[in-house]
Amino acid sequence: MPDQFKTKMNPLAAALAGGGSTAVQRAIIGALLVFAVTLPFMLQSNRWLTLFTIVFIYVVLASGLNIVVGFTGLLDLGYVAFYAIGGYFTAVVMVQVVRNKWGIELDSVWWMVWMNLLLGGVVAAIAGAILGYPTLRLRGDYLAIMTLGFHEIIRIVANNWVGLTRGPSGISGIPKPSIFGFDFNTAFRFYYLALFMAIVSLFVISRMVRSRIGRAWTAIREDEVAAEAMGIHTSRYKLLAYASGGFFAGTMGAFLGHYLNFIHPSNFKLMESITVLSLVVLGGMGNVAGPALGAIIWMTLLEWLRDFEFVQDHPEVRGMLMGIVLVTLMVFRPKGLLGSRRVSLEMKPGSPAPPVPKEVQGG
Amino acid sequence: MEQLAQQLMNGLMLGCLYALIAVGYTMVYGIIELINFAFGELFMFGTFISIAMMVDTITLFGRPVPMPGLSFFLAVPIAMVAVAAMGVTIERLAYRPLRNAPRLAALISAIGMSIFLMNFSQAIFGSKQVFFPDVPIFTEAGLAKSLTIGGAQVTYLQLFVVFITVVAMVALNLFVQRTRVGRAMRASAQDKQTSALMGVNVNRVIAITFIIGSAMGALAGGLYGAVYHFARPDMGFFPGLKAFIAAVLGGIGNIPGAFLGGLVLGMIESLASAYLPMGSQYRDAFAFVILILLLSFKPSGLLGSTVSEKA
Amino acid sequence: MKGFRVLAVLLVVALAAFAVGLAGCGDSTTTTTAGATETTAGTTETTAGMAVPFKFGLAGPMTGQYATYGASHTAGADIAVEELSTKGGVNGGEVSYESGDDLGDPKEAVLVAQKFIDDAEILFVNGHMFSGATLAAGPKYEEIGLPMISPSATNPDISALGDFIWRICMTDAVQGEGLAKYTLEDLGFKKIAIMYDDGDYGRGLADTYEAAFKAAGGEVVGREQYTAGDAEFKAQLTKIKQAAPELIFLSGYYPEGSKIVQQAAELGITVTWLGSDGYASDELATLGGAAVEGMLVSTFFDYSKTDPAVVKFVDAYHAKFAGANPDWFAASAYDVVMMVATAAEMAGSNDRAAINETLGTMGTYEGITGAITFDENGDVLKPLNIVIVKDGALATAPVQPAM
Repeated sequence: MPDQFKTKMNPLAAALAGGGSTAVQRAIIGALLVFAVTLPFMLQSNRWLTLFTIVFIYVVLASGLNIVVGFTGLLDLGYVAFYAIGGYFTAVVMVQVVRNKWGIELDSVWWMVWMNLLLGGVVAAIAGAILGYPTLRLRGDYLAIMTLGFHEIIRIVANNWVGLTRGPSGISGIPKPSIFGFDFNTAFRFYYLALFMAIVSLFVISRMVRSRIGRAWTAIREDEVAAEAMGIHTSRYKLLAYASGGFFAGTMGAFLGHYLNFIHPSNFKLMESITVLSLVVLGGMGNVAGPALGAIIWMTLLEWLRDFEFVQDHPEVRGMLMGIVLVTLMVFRPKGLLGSRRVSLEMKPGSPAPPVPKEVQGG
Repeated sequence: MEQLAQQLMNGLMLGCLYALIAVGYTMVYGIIELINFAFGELFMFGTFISIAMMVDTITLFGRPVPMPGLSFFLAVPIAMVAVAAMGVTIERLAYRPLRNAPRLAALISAIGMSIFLMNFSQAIFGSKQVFFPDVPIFTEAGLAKSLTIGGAQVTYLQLFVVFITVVAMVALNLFVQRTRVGRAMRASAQDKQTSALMGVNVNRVIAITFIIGSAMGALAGGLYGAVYHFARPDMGFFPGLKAFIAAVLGGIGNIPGAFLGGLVLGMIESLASAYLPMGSQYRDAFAFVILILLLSFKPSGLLGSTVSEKA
Repeated sequence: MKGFRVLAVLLVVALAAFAVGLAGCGDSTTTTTAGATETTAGTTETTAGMAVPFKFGLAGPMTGQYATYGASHTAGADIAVEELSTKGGVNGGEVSYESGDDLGDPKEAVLVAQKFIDDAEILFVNGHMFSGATLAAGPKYEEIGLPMISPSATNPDISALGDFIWRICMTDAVQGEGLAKYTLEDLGFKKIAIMYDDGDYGRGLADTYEAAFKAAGGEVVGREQYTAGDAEFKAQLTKIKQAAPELIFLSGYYPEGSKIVQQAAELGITVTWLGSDGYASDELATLGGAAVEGMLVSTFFDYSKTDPAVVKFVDAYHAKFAGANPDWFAASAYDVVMMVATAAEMAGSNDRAAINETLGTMGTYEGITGAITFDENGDVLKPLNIVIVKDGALATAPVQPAM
């Protein structure tokens, strides 16, 4: 890659990093880590640990989708399909094949759980690249509808291919993870496992988006034609974005299976894809911390609302409030809570890609 | 042969309903390029308000409330007016502030609106299904009046739906193509800034589009309710999605395209269900596969796009 | 500048999360089960004020696509709570419940389960309604020892979940065989078609019905599937019409049932209809209108029965819900609460473990949905009733299954 290319991309990358001083950012990240690690000791509540375990799943899902939507600018309404692929991968392999077909005790192959977390991701990544291929030519809403279609197809197959997935009965008996005899069987232990996975995922994603790959993604988002002209192989990078996003979803799907010990088509409804997309936009697209924050706030708020007697008597109030929250947040912070000021997923014809220097807006 | 005729008829009738929903959907869609997730909910309110106008008492917030008990042909227009007012209010509150924001922000705002409206209707009307009263001229002794055309059974009400759909499609198309406001709409869809410079009041044009689009949604809701005899808070989600698909299939913002897209979608669903192996299991999957193939060969929809230029 | 803003936002979030955490702490004790067992020891004497409240968790889909079932579930539980309260509570304890909306979704069900588990006052869970939700939440209850009684989760896998998991509905296998026999022997139809909901219950029941019907020498000429929430069924019905069955068996839930039968009438299909217990609701009759007249529906709860317990429940329901007839979801939710109340009174204490043990040993409980006797898996066997749609309501059908 010629040097010239690098220098052109560098301002973008710098802007992406969010400006601000890195020292402050590091301090914040450190403080959050300490907070997350000590939280179980402060909380002493299995309910909230369970919630945060699920929150971490969504943190990773939202961050993975952020690669596709936020960084590469591809509107994906079917992201949860890859979550389903990962979940069904491990369920089918562990329960349907290893246990039922080969008759192997699952305790004796505990290492397979860890392997499947990765393999589930890999399978989903491959699926992402394959399903992404026909969408390469499409933009905007045509892309949205294709991805939505893939989601529905995968969900319908999961619900109807009874021989493989047991259809609507779901697959139960997926083993809990354990490592050298240490079982992950309490809310407390699962919390740390999920936290670990979330931290690793966020770290990997933040590295990725700051690498040359990430810069290529951003270039595609900002102006695909220009990116192509600059020598970026847009198709390859788009597929890479689908595959990377798919990987994280697949891993989390496998984790969900081992966490619930159960996989069911209703885990992967269309509404899930829409929810995850909302989390991405809510937190702030094109920003590594944004989707994570979106997931934490949204899910915590949803769970917290359960406690009000009024909400229990009128369950629909919860949905009404959440709807109002979404609209209000979007109206007042259209770029999300941590909106990166560089992002504008413009697909309107003729609107100039804003060549705005970072000092101009906001601040 | 008889089965084929019936299945074609089924597909045509289902397609007409989809087309009617899609025609309203695509108007709004063409001008603000927003996947309007709340459209399905406006449709649902159209059904509920039609019912409310037709019955003598209805339960609102858990309390019985006396209602006028009007005829279907008066109730639906009232629902259209009410829903148009809702639509324009929603536009003002949730979409207009986001006119210049990233497109996804508007999409999420629409999703938020959709979630709110669905739950709000549950608060008002309850979570049980509500019966959509029979329309006297289309029924006889509680059963739908039907006739046989070329070996296929079809009800009078369905024929009425076809008639309304065609009229709505033609009227809207003429409106958009021939009137001043329609021209302003097309101009705004192309380029809002330039249109504004040319003296088009873009906000007003968009508000009018929302009024018409929402009223069409309510009309579709009223007819859908009459055909299937029910209303329920979550009933709008799938029709809204189908309308979106039909609109994209036909070419975004293209009114005859949406009509055609709806018909094609209805046909695909009906015929896939009937003639493909395990059709009733994989109906929606087949529909999406065909959709994906169609979009692969015609990436900008069946009739390209005349109102907006996107792809 | 930006750094500062980000910092501020993050701090607010952290504080919010912390506040929520504290709120979570406030309403739950960490020593969940231990606390509960300790307190119950001294409270079996009915000294008012000291009594352990009889509080339960009510889990089901309260919003979203399946909200209608959750509403019936809640309504039935409300009647039970009122009845027990007027009697002076259970073991002197005040009767109340916490409602948990699981949307019929496994992940949400786990969250609801954990909330109930953490609340030491909750003695048992009335729910979850769907098999998917039950299979995900069940292991959590089993682990901690909180009894869970599902009114409606029919998946056979649930039997294997453990000692704290019960249900008062029959598995699909039992109902499917019973209905196949009824179709063939009592009604005398040999050539039938099946239309079923693609969910766990609809498909499972359709499978067992079909297998039993074929095994007994019947002929299944059509088998079509639909999805919950569908409104258009004509493509499937046209196919079925071609095969000319004598009876169409519907396996699923009532919201779709009325539309299926109506559209069949529009297509000129005139057959006998038999619906599974998911169709047993007045909603089928009121929404189906003239088309569903004469449709047979299997149910465990027939509100037209003159059994005093049924009459009492139906009267209370009429009084509370403006004359509406209860469906079987409501009746099952009522049965669960009343049965556990009986068990708690037999055990003499409002305590999770004691209740669970008594459920296993109490023998037969005469509920309004039939006599409930648990087998070793926590499943039940009940007699099937058939009702018929008559004048917009459900009445006892003239032909009942021979026992």
